[in-house]
Amino acid sequence: MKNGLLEINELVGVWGSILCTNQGELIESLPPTGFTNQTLEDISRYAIELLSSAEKSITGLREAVIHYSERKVFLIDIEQAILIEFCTPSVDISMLRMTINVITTRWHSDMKIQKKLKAAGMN
Amino acid sequence: MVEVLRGNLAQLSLLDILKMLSTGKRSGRLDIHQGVKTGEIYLQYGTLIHAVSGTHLGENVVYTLMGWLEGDFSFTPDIEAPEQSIHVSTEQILLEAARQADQWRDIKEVLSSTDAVFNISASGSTNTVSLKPIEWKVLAQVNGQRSVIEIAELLELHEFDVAKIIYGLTTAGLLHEETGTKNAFREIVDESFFEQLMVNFTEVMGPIGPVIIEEEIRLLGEDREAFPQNKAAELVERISLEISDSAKRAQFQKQMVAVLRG
Repeated sequence: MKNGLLEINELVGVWGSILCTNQGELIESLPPTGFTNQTLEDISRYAIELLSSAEKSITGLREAVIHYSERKVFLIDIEQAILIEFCTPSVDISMLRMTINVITTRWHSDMKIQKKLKAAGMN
Repeated sequence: MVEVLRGNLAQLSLLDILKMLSTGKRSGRLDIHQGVKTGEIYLQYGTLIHAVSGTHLGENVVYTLMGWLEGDFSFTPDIEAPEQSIHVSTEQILLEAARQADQWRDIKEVLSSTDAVFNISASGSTNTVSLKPIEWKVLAQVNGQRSVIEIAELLELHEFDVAKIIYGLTTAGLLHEETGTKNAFREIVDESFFEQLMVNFTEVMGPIGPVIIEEEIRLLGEDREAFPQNKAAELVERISLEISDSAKRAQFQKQMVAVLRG
């Protein structure tokens, strides 16, 4: 799982990645330096709140991009979890989305990862 | 701060987007990107209140952004404008923008883009030409190296005004576009990218694959011969959405992500 996040982090413009449950608990993270666990959990909960409240008005919404002046945060619902990507404004979102899709497809067929995601979701 | 609307200016013009947001009485920020250039337009209940691009502010920025016939846009609702730089009515701006959009269409017949470079024509005009002071100022900056946008920045004029003058000087026979210079400003994908794209996509989609690729290139407002590197991933992603089988789509994306990452 960590290798997948590492692969995403290797993309130009990606600064860090976190994977959390649909309740906002951290599953795995390779965050940008200087982020404490508490900050990461706060971000995760905020991301989930944002996605779920937006989903109420936009059916089928799976992703969102939050724009800050110096950063972009990309949130994507990968069904069993939420993936949060910290990026620079120049990140190629198409490249990021495709890389995430390749990795999450790989995770779908990995029993070990599925077990971990399921266990995390049940906690 | 959730982005709810985004797309490509080649498919939906800025004028149409602004009309839609204004009619819908939307509030928020419209971001426009064309390569490294960016612009922001703020609306409050459908009224245009602030526009900024680089160091320029106000309604003229809206007119400049109208000239970006390619690029990406995204609208983020409920972002307040940091200031008010537009002091004329939205109706007036949209009316002027529509007039300029018509003129842009004519200008684009001569100017392939505002990144285009012009030079003095050796043959010149067959008629007597009289120039206004502003036209002379622009003509004096044309040297076969500066792009239209660079001339506008140098003279602190709006892109639209400079483009219009260059259009006039070109149709009068005084200037000609330097071929091959436009693309010198942006990185172009290697032909091997398209070869691999064709092979991988045709393998999944069959003989219709190349047709879909050509259509998507056209929808992005680009040519295969001069396809910009910064749109390569977007093209791959768009065509991959044509693959209905998710496993096959992921496999295709995997192959192409590897190609894109070199």
